[in-house]
Parts: sequence; C-alpha cells; structure tokens
Amino acid sequence: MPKILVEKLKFTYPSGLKALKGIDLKIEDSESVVIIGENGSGKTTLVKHFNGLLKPTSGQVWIENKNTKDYSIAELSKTVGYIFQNPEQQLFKETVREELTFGPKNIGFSGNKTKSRVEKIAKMTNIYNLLDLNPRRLNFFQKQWVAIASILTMDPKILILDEPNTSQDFLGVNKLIDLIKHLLKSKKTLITITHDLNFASKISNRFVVVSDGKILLDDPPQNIFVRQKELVQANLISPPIPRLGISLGFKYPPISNKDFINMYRELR
Amino acid sequence: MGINIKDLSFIYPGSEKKALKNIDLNIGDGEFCCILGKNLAGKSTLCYTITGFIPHFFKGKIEGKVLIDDLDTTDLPLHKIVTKVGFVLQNPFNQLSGSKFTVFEELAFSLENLGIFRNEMIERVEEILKKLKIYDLKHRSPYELSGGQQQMVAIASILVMKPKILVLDEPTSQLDPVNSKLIFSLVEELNNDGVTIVIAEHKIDEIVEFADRILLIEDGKIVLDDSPNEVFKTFSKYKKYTKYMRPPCFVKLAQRMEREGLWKKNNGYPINFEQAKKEFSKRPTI
Repeated sequence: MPKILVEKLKFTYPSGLKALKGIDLKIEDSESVVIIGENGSGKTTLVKHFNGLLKPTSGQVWIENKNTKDYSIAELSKTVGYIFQNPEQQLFKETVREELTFGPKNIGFSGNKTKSRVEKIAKMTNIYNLLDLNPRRLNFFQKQWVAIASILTMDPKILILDEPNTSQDFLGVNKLIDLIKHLLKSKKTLITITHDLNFASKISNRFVVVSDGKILLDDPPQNIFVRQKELVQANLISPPIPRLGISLGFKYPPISNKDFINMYRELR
Repeated sequence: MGINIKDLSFIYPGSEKKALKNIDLNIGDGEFCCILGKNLAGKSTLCYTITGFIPHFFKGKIEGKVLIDDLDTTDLPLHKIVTKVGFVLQNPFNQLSGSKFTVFEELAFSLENLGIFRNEMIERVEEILKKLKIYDLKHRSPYELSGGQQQMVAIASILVMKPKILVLDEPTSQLDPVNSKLIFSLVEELNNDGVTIVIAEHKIDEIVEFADRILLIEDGKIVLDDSPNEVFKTFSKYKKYTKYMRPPCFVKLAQRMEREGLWKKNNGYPINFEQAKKEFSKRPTI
C-alpha cells in the first residue's frame, strides 16, 4: 500500500471553480516528490487533500490506508504536516516557543517530549535565538522557518512544503536543501511545491507537473525538461543550465553543472 | 523622478541595532536598480524609506534625509508619496485592501483613492488586467485566488496607478517561471518609458538581464554599487562579496569549465543565456 493514494480526485470550490479535474497519484513511503505547475493550476488544492483540509468532491484520497473522508484534520495532522505557503496564515501565538509547542501538545505529546522536540527542532531550523520573540515581529523568511519548525515538532511521517523557499536567500535555500535531505534520511515522505526548478532538482528525482487541475507529466526532471510542448502548456520554462545544454546540441538536458561538463566533454 | 538619500540611518522601535547605516545614494530619473543582499541585510528597510513607509508607517529612530523629486519624505504625507512612488510589497496578502469582493474592485480601489474619473478608471483597470494576463480573474474574489494569482493582482494594483517611481520587494517570489518573466519584462517596458525602478530580488539569474545597476547591501550598508557587467563579468570586484550573494548560474558554470580546462576567459564571464551560448559554442582552444 502506498503512503499516499489519490484516485480519480475531483474538487470544486463553493464558488463553482473546478480546481481539480480527475487526479490519480501514488506516492510511496520515504519518497520525495516535487509538484510544479503554473499559478492557479491546482497544486495547493491538491496537497490540501492530503491532511484533510479539503475533502474530495468526488474520488478518494488514502493516507496510510485511511480514507481521508473518515478522519478529521486533527487526526490526519498526526501523520501529515502541512506547511502553508503563507506563514502568516499559520502563526498565531505570542512567542515562537509557544508556536512550536502548540502542535505537539495538541496531539498528545508529553510535556518532556514536547520540550525536547522544541529545542531540537529550533536548533535544526536555526531559529533557536528567536524562541522568545513574537512571530509577528519577524521577517518574512524567519516566519517561513518558524512555520516549518512548528510542524516538524509534531514529527509527522508525511510532510508537505508549499513553496518553502520563496523568500530565502541563497544561504537559506542551501539550509533548506540540507534539512530536506536530513528528513529523507530519517524516512519521511516529502511533497514539495515550488517554482524553482533548480531547487526542485536538488531535492527530488520525481517531478509531477499539474496543469489545469490535471496531472500532465510525472517523471524524472531530465525527461520533463525536454517536453517542450507540455512545458509551454503548463506555463513552465526549463532552468537555464538544462536549456543551455539542449541549445548546444546535448542529447539530454544536463541537470547540474557536473552533468553539463560531462556532456560537454562527450560532445567534443 | 529621482531619489536622493543623504546620510540615512534607521533603528526599528525596540531594537538597538541600526538597520540602515549612513546610506548615501542617488538614483537618477529612469534608472533600473536592483538591491541584492542576504536576508536581514536591510533590503526591505531601504525600500520602506524610499516609499515613505519609514517614517510614516514604521516609527523608529531616523537620521538623515530621503528626497523624492526634491521633496523630503518626512514632510510629505503618505497619501502624497503614493502619487509618485508605487510599492509592491513582499507579501501580496498584505497588499490587498481586505474590503473588496472582486479583483476588478480591488484594482479600481487604488484609482478611486487617486480621484481618477470613472471612465478612465475602468479603462485603466481593463488594460492592466490584459497586460498581466489575469483578465479571467476579473470577477473572482481576491481571497479565493492561489498565492501566485494573488501576487499578480497585488502587482497590478500598483501598476494601475502608473507611478513615476516603482519599488518592488521580491515581487515574483510566488510566480511560476512564465509569469515571473512577464513581470520582469513589464517592469523593463515601464523603465523604457522612463519609470525609475528599484527592485529587491534574490533571483539573480533573471535580474542581470534587466538591471542597469546593482546595489549590494550588507549589514545596513551599501558595500557595492556597479553595473551587472562590471560586477560579474570581470569578477575581480565580486570576489570580496561571495559571502553575500551568489553569482549568476552561467558565471558559476564558466568558472567550473575554466578550472577543468574546457573554456578560456577572453571577454569576461557570460552573465546571461545568449552570452553563455555564444561562449560555449566555440570549441575550446586549450
């Protein structure tokens, strides 16, 4: 049984907007999947089904063999942590420490376990020195780290990161990549939404392209970056290095500088 | 319309640290400047001072002067400043008025406040919706949009006012690559029409294509002020600042090619796609 199973999922918002038009998707345990696609294509709507924030209009979503229809958000959030795109919608406590404590306390962690998780995660996400500050007074990129930390303290098996790198500088993005690699080593299942395909190819080898409420492609990045027609359809552009490789006549799009150099040598 | 900053320092309330330290900066009419720097270096704070958010919205200890079109922002109320300077905020959610039911009304609201006549208002809103390719969102609620769509609407709500100076704080953070490119091109188009542009960005690969001038901020000070060509092509100037920003991806690639003996630097490092294609199409001579 896969970790996440989506079958014929359709979702229509109360306004009548058909956001998902039939999605089938299987995500295995400890997998890292990246979801890409144009603005408004349905990426966030799709992942909000994984922790029960949204329930299907039709079709099914199974999380570890449990149909999300039969479980509350509170129950599902023990397994699935969802880190919001906009951290300001996620933060509401007076201090960062309270913010990080709220989740684990709510799902029944003991006082001691909660305390040690908060300390550990605060160090891991480089926000230890912010613990006594009010989250509202932080910078946007710091709020993003607090939002990530407040979910990690609950130690969910499945993590959804909705555009986690939007306001991080290059050092922050590198820290995020390290964190994601660490989480994958500890057997977490990760679903990341991003527009930064360079970042995406560093954390995952499976890209799911969503376009107009449907899955258009589901493949490793090197297969995605050559599908010009689908990329245009999904409002995407290959990252610069793969694009450069293809324009120089490489057989496959190079994903990293190392790939580029190897292929360049072969071409000579 | 130019920006003159004279010996400007700023401390946020409740803080003892200077967020900006003795900034002297002149941005001429029609320039396209990009502010680079790490998180917390002072990029957003500098944007706030140019747009009058400091001192009118964020109170704090301010020294020095900011002149917009030769007028001191301290003496100029915010509702006067917005007629000259448009500010696209980092978080689009904070840009929306919170009181309008459709995207159309949201965009019209900006113009209502400027006292624009109804017919012109409708015309301008329709025009900007088409330009940003968000016409299909016209009747949707701003709060039922995706994050990226909301960011497009937030940008539109400023562009529709046709400011002479446009300040943008990471305006494309939530946009897909195509929309991101669309916004950068529109900003370039406005710049060609004479609008002064100041943009804080992390997307170095995209911004080198457009900016005339790079301002690198570190710890509240401007530590580097030069053209993208000067900063990245020769690299000599850049070496000191590798801790504060990363070079464009093609520069990194070229350096690696150079190290591996596959490419030789003659005219400096390629900083954009066209230059990279031209450089690497040549067969290596070493």
